[in-house]
Amino acid sequence: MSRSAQEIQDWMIDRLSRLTGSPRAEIDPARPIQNCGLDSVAQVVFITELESWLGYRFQGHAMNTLTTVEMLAAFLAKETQE
Amino acid sequence: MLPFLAIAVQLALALVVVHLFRIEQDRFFLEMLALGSAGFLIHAWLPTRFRLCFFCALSLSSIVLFLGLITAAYVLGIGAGLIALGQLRVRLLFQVLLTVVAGVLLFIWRVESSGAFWVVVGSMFMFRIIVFLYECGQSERPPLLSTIAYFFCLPSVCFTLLPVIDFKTFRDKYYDDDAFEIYETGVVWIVRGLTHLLAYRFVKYFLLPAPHEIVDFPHFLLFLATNYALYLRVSGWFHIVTGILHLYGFNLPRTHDNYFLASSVSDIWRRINIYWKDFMTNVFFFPAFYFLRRYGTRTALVGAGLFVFVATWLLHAYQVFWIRATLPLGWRDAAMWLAAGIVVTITLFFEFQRRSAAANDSSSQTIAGAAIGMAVHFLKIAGTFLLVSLFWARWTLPNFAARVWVLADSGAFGVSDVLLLVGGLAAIAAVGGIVGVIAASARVPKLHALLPGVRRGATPVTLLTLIVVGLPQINEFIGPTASDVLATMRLETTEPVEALVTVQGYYDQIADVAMPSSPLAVLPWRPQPAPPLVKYAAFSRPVDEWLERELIPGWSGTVADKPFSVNDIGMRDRPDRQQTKPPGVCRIAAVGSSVVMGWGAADDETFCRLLEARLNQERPGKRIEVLNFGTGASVAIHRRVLLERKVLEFEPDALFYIAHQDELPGPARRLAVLASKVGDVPYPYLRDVLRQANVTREMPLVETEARLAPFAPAILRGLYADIVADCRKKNVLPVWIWVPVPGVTNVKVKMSEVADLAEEAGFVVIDLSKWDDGYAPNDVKVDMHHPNTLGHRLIAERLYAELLAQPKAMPACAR
Repeated sequence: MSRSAQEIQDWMIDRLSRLTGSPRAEIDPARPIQNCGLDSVAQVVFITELESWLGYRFQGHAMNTLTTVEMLAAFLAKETQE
Repeated sequence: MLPFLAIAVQLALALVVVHLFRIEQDRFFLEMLALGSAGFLIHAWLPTRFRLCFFCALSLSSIVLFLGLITAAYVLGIGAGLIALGQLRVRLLFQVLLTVVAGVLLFIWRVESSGAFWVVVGSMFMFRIIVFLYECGQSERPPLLSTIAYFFCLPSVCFTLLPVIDFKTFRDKYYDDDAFEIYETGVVWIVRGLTHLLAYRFVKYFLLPAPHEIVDFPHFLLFLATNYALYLRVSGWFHIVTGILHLYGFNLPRTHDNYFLASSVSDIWRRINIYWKDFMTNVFFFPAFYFLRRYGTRTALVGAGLFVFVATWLLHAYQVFWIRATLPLGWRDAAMWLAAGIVVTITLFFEFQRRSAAANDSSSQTIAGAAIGMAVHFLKIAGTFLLVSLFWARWTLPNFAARVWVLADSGAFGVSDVLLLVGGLAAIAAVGGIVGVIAASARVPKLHALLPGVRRGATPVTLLTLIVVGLPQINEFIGPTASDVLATMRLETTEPVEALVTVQGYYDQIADVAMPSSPLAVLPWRPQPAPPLVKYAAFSRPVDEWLERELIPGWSGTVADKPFSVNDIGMRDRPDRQQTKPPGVCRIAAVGSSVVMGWGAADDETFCRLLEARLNQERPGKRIEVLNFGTGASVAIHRRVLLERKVLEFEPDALFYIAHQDELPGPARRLAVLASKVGDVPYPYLRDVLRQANVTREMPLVETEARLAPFAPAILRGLYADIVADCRKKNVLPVWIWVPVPGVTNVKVKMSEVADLAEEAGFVVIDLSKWDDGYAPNDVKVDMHHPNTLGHRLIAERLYAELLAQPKAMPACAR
């Protein structure tokens, strides 16, 4: 399913907010996702739900290189369009 | 300017605290913090482009300064080689292969060599090189300066355990915020690290129960909690290391997050040594997880979780190898880590389910719900603390399982203990419920909103408080007990203390590895190295398992810087002493340890000699001899045997039995050794104890020790009764004298505990608890355990006064 980067970014901020218990406003899309306080289980939950929502499957640990919400959203928007 | 001055003043105060409490003195931490602080004063004002270069130069200089040229050359040479491999412009696979080959060569070299540089090379490179290579695989080759800063960063040279800093984080977080905010965080962390190290000392010296005290459930719980709390040393080091890095702009995340408050086994994994968790997650967990995903997400989660724990076990052994040159790959550790891995993985699995559901649940909570939720949370914290303490004890103590078995076998855990546990948990839940209600009612300001202000104020207040209590002059304003506590807190001893003998766990083994010798040791404020010590073995000789050693007749030399002579009949006594008692002479035989023998005092300065002189001086016409039968490393079993074999041959009129803080646990440990070495135990009461404890000769020593520890009072009771019976047969007055060594408050034996046993056996009891007459421990001692000349004089004077006050403690012939 094709989604815009903004849509993906909004979804990610919403999910991160619920997983970490932080208000949406406190999640900065330009800061590294791991700084939000996500532990390994939360990362797995986040990734699997993101994959399920987008119908896309990561081949490796994307958050190592695509560290911010912005970067990951832009990447996924491009990937799902293709 | 003001923030800079505030930070500079706090660093100066921190230096005073480190100096007063001699924090990590053997690791030259005062000098390292001084260098780090001085470097900060320059670095903070440098143009940004020169800062990293300055930090690298300072870090490399610190290696030469602290280790000397030769050791530093090894460290820098090996380090440069490894870094050069990382900088090669070749394919990553080839680079990894080259590094593995280099690692194997270094491994072989390490097996063959015990060079002092290995400890530093190991702590700097063993994990960071893995992180570095992993990072090289994720992005382009890192700049050289960042690489040098990463591996050789400033405080590393002082510590054998270093946080496994993530290389990417190290680079990304460099000046990523306001500079003075970062510096201030650094100071906060340094101070937090210092408080952790002092808390560690307090736990080690005052709370950790000695082995013989663990005889009931409350002491068992106290032991579990305090043994786990010894980890404070590691968290203290990590706070300090990352705090110093903050002073140079590395805005690193926290290394620990209130780990005593973890609420599940996976939560502890996230809170304790967070850098390790991140290292394992990035380098092992996620690669394994993505590799296993073809079998399903849950299978991958479980598989990756178990893989992480197997890797953790292997990497802990790998760490010990580089620091201590042994490779502890035993089945015991493997089974334990695997069990821990299974527990954590099951928790991960259920947590994954729960959080997947929770991520879709946005329902709000009522106050009642919040109270219940918080009560459950508090219970989970208590349960996790207990579980982790058990794991920690199992990991750090080789004989822990045997100890628990002995306790359970002896009926130490009863119904009342279950009630105690349930009551304690109910109280914890109630407190949790109250906290939940308060938090949910939102009538109190949010704590995190107050934190920055509290933090700013708390750091200087903590430092000033520590300085006040660290000043020896404070003794004039507080009671003697508090003075003793503070005097002990100011001691940085690495001598194995009573309780710590059994708590030489994983981290202690690594943390206690000595630093290579440093050229800084000659600095004027450093403790001057003691002259080479003559050891007890030099002037004593083996006898048998029961007596172990005796003084070599006729030996003379210098011991602890004092003339030391052994007479022809093997006693630290007058050269003209005879075994046969001359007519009209009244004899007092003193038996005891090296304190009685007079380690640290000249021949004519021992309290036995001084007491003898005083007794004769005050009783003209009488001839009184105080015979010194003191020997080194002596416990009640040795004294009982000595009495039988030697002392009674001298026809004494009184026996002065001198006891110190090690009186209770010593005989149990000695009996454990005897049980494994000697087939026949001739003393029936000792045979009874061995039988009751189900000890066999084939049993491993650690298990025998564990089984005998609860019988320490019974062993001492039997020995005392036997000594008194022998004395009565020969018409000898038995006198038991308590002479505690000041400043040795870490050995938890109450005088009343052993004095009651002595009195029950029939000894006349003399308490010399306050013989030090208000002097500071270091003023009356030559080392940790032995009184000096002044100390012996004070003991003699106090003993004489007590003998006058208690005439029944004097033999009739001397009254």
